[in-house]
Amino acid sequence: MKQKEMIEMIQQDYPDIGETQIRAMLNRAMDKFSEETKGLLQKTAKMAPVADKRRYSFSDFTGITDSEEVLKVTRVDFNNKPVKRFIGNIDLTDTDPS
Amino acid sequence: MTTKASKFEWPTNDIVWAIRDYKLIIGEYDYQENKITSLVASELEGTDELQIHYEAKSAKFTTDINLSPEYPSQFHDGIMYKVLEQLSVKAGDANKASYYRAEYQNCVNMAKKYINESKDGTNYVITQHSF
Repeated sequence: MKQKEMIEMIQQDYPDIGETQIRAMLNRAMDKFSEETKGLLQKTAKMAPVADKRRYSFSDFTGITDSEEVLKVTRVDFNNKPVKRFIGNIDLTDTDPS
Repeated sequence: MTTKASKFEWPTNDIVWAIRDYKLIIGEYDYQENKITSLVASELEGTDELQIHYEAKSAKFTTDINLSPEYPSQFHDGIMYKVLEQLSVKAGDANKASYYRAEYQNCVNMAKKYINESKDGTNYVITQHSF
């Protein structure tokens, strides 16, 4: 269903509510729905690793415009081979130099 | 001579990933210092590629009203029901609010069932352990 149809259906019941307000409410509703149904939408994104850098924002990956889009990372591959997840503690002073 | 990261023995403990401060940390595990260090230029090749698999939020709606949510279409109504529930609460119509809340919850439950079902009709799922 397109956003247009949703807005029109909502305005059938609430004709005084404007498109901008409905859009904001739909976006909040989508966020809530995403939180409650984690795993419904699964994606992958790629990037080239950078030398001397170990900290990447999710928005560094192609196709991710906002880091908030990522709810949970389930797997990381390096050249299509799985990388193990680090289990230990990371030094609190470990800040990336770059 | 430096070993290229792509030539590390796979699966390996040498390259590891973690999440910290909402960022992805990926690097080489230093057994001596017990920490993660960055891969250096001599360990990387131009064709190297990182890929993440992740659970995502649907992209937000913009002023392009012809876009649809990225979820499967059977769950699109749920988003609309949530908005109608909130508008009904504002309008003081408890009955309608209650109806739309139930419809929204029904969509959430259907979505959870959908996640747990593979496409061949079975409902097993292999959950990775996170520590």
